[in-house]
Amino acid sequence: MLENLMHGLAVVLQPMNFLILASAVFIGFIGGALPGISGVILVVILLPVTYGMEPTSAFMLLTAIYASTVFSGLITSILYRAPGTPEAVMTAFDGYPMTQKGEAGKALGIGILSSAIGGTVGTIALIVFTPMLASIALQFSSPEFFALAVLGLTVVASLGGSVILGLIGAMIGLFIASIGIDPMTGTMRFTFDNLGLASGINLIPIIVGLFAISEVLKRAGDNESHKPLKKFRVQIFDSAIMRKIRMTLTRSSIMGVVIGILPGIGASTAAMVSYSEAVRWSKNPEQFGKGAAEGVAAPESANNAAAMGALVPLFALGIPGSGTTAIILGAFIMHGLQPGPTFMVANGELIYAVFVGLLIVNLMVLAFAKPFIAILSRLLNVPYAALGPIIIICCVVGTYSVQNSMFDVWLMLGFGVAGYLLEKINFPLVAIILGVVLGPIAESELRRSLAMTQGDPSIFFTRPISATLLAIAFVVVMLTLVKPLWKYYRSRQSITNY
Amino acid sequence: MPRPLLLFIVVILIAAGFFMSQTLQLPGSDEVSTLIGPRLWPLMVLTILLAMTLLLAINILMTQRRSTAEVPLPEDAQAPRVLSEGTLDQKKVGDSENNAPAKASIWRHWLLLGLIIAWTIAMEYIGFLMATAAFTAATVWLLGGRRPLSLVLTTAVGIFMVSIVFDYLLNIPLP
Repeated sequence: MLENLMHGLAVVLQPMNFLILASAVFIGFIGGALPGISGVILVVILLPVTYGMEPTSAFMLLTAIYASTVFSGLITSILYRAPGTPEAVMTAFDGYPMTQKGEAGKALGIGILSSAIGGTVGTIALIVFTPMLASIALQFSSPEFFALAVLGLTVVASLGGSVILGLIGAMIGLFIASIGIDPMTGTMRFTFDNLGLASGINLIPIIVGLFAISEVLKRAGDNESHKPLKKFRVQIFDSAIMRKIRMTLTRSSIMGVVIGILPGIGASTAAMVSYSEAVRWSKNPEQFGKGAAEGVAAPESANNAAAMGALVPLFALGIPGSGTTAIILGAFIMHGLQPGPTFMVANGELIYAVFVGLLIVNLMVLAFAKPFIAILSRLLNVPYAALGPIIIICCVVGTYSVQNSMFDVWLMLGFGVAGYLLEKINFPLVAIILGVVLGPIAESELRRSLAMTQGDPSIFFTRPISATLLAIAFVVVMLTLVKPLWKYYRSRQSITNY
Repeated sequence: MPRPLLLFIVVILIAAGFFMSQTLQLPGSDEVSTLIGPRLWPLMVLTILLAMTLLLAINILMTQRRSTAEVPLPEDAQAPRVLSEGTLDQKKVGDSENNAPAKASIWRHWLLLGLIIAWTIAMEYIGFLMATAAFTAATVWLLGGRRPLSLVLTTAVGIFMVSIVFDYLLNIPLP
């Protein structure tokens, strides 16, 4: 393996390849920082450019863009609560309150360091554990995937605020995900004969509307927020912060890798699950959502680790682990390559060059993020009167470009208004996203599982992994629901005793 | 019950009820070739949604009854917000008269929404670039940018970003 890695390093260090890698990181930085332009869009845009390249250079470019967009989504997420990519939604939860408290530099520093550590851990896991982890993931069948989706939904219990509102949000998200043609029977569901709804509601209009547009609307009516950002200095290495977040970083990076490897789960879910675990393990869970350092470290290390983990099933099994890796799989096929069990043997040079390239990308993130943010923050420090319309233009163009659909733009505006109104009642908007992301997995795996047993639901409880996952999900929700009642009972008891 | 929450509960109950009636018209498991039909999942989701919404209404009523019994709110107090089960935000939803938002900003977000809608409609008639230029200038003005330089610069940046970055460099399709 070491010999292969050294050979890969030699390939990456060729001047042309290194230039391609550096350009990819820069393009990924800009693309990820623009709300509404995800890694998928960037990879799709640059796919035609790679046709004329050597496969090794082409896949170094595509995977480097993929890795750097996952990182740079945190910048606008922290500074403007407008996640640059879906993976950065959870980062806004604590990153933006830190910015509001004048700690933007600290939040960005934590985000950069966590991303680089998560990405590096993910890449090392990708290199070392690919065959082993792939074999574990192979043991998962439909009941386990359904149970995993249910466990993912219980994250709403850890989001802070009302658990019932969180569960309502998750149900709204699950319902939105069921709109469109039913993939198993071809039946139109809730489309009202509108062709724009036939393929379902895309995630981008929902995310951009709920988070970015609602925030712009909120700021438009709020005089206080028209103040430009306070000057900040990005602090990447801070020993006190490092001590505080080291356990969160370790746990979230490992979780990110494991979740990323499971096909179809993706980095966004990894960020959500690791955030909820960070809350669960924290001694001060009440600080989450108000600017907790661990609240930035957990999702950022997990989403970058998961992004790398999602490449494991792609290379080892030929199964994409996320939306962007599905596009990269398409790119492999367009280049006449078929990832799968024999791929590593037949294309060792390419694979190891990509692995080493990804390790270097994570170092580049650490090295170039600070100057990049310094340039970007000058742009972002302009008054909101000037920045607001630019953000709206990015949102509209980014949403339109996903499917060339004006219908998506109208949907995004609808979700923007809904998000603005829902925030008036402290509604956890991220619960809706969670439902939309996990909905298709949950439904299809539930139906497949029931089909396996002719409709007998006991399959979820007789298989050890799915039974354990469902039991954890049940305990999590029950504990959160019972906790306030217990507190109330204790307070009544103490009043009576007094 | 706080008015925004009451409105939310009513809207969700009406919407969930409407979609429930639509769901019941979907083919059941015995009407399709697969073992589990397309009706089961939305039926499950909407049932839980309805149950949770009713639970929320009951929870708020109980919490409010408890809090009014224990800590009576002043008559002129605005309705408190529910932060989590059993806890109410005693801070008023709005603001006191002293720090109430300026009159101009009360409707600003709705005016901005109107501008976005007008821009989205206009781009189909007068072209994306022209509509974007007009929208950018109008939005800068609406959000408080009064200096001519700020108006011109932002409009120029908007046009540059659309035509050079999105269209030319990234080759992103424009509306």
